[in-house]
Amino acid sequence: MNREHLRVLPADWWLRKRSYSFFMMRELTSLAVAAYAVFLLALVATAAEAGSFTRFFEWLRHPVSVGLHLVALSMVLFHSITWIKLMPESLVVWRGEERIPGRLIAAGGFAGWIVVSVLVAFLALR
Amino acid sequence: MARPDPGETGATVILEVFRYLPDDEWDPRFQGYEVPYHSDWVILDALNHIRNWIDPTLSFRWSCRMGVCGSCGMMVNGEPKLTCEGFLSEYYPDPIRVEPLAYFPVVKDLVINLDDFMAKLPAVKSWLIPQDPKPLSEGEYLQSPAELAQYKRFSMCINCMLCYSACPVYGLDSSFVGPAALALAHRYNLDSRDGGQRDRAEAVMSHEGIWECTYVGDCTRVCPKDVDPAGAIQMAKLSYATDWVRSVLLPGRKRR
Repeated sequence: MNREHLRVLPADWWLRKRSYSFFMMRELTSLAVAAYAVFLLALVATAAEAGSFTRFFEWLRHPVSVGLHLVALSMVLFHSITWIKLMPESLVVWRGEERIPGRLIAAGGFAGWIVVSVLVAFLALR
Repeated sequence: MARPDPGETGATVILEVFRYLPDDEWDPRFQGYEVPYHSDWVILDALNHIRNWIDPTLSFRWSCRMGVCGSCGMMVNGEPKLTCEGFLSEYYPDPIRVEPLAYFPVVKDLVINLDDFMAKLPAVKSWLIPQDPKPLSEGEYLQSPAELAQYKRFSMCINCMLCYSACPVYGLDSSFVGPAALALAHRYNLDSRDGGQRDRAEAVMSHEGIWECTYVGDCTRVCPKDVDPAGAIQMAKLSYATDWVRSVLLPGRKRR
């Protein structure tokens, strides 16, 4: 008979340690990224017809919609920043015997993110 | 005492120690022990004091008491830690809660069953598999300092299993190959003398391997040897994924 004592992880394990909660937040905020992708698809779908596009735009001005967008923005920002900060872990670049510092690689990620954001803003707002 | 003890302060500290005695009918419980507080004592010193002077029935593993052997890992206030590296002064005057390493089955008190980890180490083929084996007469496989630097960090593992007790994925599913074994597999994949990445793929690329890792990152945070298993697993994901894409796009080419 096996008399070893087994311990089970409680269902709220991710609330019991700061690093675990942070991990859960990082993962759950990805839902906002996915939700916004669906939203953009809806935007493209309504763009085909002038009438539905204006109605869609009217709805976007509603305070509920603005509130949802602000929540989504904060979640997407959190997800993007933590994602880029983790990038150097998998992207390892060597210069001879020296490993290129992770901070430099993360900085490259942030720079790329800003460039793309400015480009998209320019195309959307011009 | 013949000689004055410079670390002796006259104060005491409470250790709340997890007790599990399979021969008794008790459920696991915590037992408090009051031990003298020495500023130069580590938790392992306090545990040895308990066993030598207070309660000889207390069981725990230890050996080198200098952070090399990797056998005295326990949960200290809920954090996986080598008890030879945690000074009482870091916690004093608060009580210190000592438990066996999380997620592993407990054999007795602070002693865990490490069979699972011992089976996983060879499962990932954690040894050199030369690409083109050559006879001894042709001499050793040479390596440059730059080639050594590629994997050196991942070779510092002392098999203390703190990373497993930090990993909620392992806690939820013990079939996960886990941080240390996967980091070691990657250590050999990165070795210029090795050609065994494909041989390790079955264990490393399986559902229980690298793809089960959700990158919590706590394994790296608790590692006493700065091995960075989380980084090794993410690197392995990238490496095996590009290897797979290459095999699809260029099916005829010889694989690494």
